[in-house]
Amino acid sequence: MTFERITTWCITVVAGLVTAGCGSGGTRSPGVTVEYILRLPGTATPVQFHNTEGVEITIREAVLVLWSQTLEDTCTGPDFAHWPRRMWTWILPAAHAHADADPRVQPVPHLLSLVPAVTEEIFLGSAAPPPGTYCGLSVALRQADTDTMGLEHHPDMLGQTLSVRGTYRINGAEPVSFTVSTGRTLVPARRLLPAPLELSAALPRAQILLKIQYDRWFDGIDVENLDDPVQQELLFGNITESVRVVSVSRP
Amino acid sequence: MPSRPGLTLLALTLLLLGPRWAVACSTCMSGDPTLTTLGLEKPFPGRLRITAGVMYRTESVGRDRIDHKDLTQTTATLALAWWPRADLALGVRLPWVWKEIKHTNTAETWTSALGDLSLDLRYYLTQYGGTQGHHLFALTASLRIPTAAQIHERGRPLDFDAQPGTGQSLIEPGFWYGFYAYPWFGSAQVAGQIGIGTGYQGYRFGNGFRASVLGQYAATRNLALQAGVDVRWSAPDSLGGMDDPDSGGFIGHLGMGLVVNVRPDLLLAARGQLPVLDALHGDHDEGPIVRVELAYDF
Repeated sequence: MTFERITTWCITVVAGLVTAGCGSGGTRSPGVTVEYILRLPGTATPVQFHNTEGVEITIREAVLVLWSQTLEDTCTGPDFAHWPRRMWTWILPAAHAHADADPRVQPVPHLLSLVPAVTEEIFLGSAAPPPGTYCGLSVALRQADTDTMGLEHHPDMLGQTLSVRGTYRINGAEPVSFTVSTGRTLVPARRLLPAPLELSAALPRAQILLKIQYDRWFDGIDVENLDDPVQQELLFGNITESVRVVSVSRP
Repeated sequence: MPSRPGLTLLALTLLLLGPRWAVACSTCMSGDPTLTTLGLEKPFPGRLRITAGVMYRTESVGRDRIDHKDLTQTTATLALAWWPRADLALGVRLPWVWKEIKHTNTAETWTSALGDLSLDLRYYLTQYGGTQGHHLFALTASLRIPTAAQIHERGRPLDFDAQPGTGQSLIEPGFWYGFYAYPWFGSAQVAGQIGIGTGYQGYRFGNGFRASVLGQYAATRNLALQAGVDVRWSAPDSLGGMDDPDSGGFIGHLGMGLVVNVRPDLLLAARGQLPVLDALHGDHDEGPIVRVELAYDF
C-alpha cells in the first residue's frame, strides 16, 4: 500500500469524524405531563374560625405532609364517594420507596406549612403518565422522611405526618391550648376530578390545582377530648376529607 | 434515520477509494477463494482491509403503561483491520450511533453521536490441513474503550438507554476456529464479556459470554450464502447500584446472509438475525437484527 493511499485514507477518516462530530447530540420531547400545584391560604398570622359545633378554633401552626399524588383511571369504588367523615382508619404499610415505577405517581413528598403560610402556591411536582382517560386522584398522607421537601424548616417533623397547635374557646371561656400530632399514615384522600381528564399525544399537558380546607378539620370533633383515640380518628378522617381538587386546566 | 455527516463519511470513503481500486487480490494472497467478511478473513502478512457497515435493531423493555420503552438503534461502523504478520491481526472499529426511544407517556428521546471505540486483536495459533490450511485456530481479544460522550439536555443526562455508549470499558477474550474448504466455510467462536469499572449513571455491565457458529457455501465464485446461530448470555446489568430486572438472560438468534464479490477485493455482505430462543430476564424483548457491510482489501 502506497504512502499516498495511506495519507488519503487518514484524511478521509479524520474529515469524516470531524464532520460527523458536528452532528452529535440528543433531545427529548416531554410527552404526557401532569403538574400538581397546591394553593395555600397565604396567611402569615394565626387563623381563627368556628367548627360546626360553634367552638372558636385558633390555629397557630399547622403542618401536614403530602406524600404523593396518583392519577386514577378507575373510580368506581366507595373510596371515591364523597363521605363527610370516616369512622374507621386504614393502616398502610410503613415503608414505601419514593421511586415508584408507576408513572401515574408524582412521588416527591412535601411538608406543608398551612399556618403560617408564607406563599400562596407550591409546585408539588409532575408525573408522566401513559395516555388515557383519568377520572380521579389519590393523595397520600404519610410520615416525612429525609427526602421530604420543606423538612429543613421543620426538622422536628421527621417521622411525623401532622402537627397542629392552637387554642379552642367554648362559649367565650378562656382559650385552652391544644397540640395534636401523629406519625401515622393517614387514609389517602381519593377525589374525583371535575371532569374526565383525557391525556394523549395531542393533549399531553394538564395542571391539577389542590387545596386543603384546614378550617374544616375540627368539624364534629369534641375538642375537649382530643386525647381520646376516637376523637383523633375523627380528626384524621376530617384531614383526609379536607384535601380538595380545585381545578384541572391545560397550560 | 442516518445523519448527513455519517453518510458523508461513507460516501467520501468510497469515492476516494473508487478511482484507485487496484486488483490487490486478497484471495490470491491468502491462497483461498473463500469470500470472508470482517473477522473471518484468512491471514497473510501485510493484509489491510477496511469495512463500512450499518446495523439496525429494535428492542423493548419495561411493563406496559408503567415503564415501557421501545428502542430503535442504527449503527454505522467504520473498521480497519491489518495483519502485520501472518499470525497476528489488529483492528479498530469506530461506530456512529443513532438511537430513538419511545416512552410510555408518548415522550421521545433521540440521540446521534459517536460511539465507543473498539480495539481488536487476533492471534492465530496454528493453521493446518492440506496445502491451503483448512483449519485455523486463533485467540481473540477485543477492548471497547468508553470514548462516547454522555449526551445531555439542559444540563441533565438523557435516558441511559439512549446514550451512544455506556461509559464503561468492556473486554472480550475469546477463541475462534475457522474451517476453509472451498466452496464450504465454517467458523465457531466463543468469547467472554467482562465489564471494567463503572459507566455513566452508575452503570455496570452484567458479565457474560457470547458464542456463534456460522456455515457458508459459495454458490458461485462471486456469491456465497451464509447461515448461522448466535447465542448470548449475561448477568443482569446494574444502574446506580440497583440491578436492572429487565436486563441479562439468554437469547439465541438464527441468522441468514449472503456475500457478494462486487469487484476484485470489494465485498458486499448482508445478514439478518432473528431471535428464536428468548430467555431474557424481566420485561425485555429484542427484535430482528439486520446488517449490511462493505469491505475492501487493499
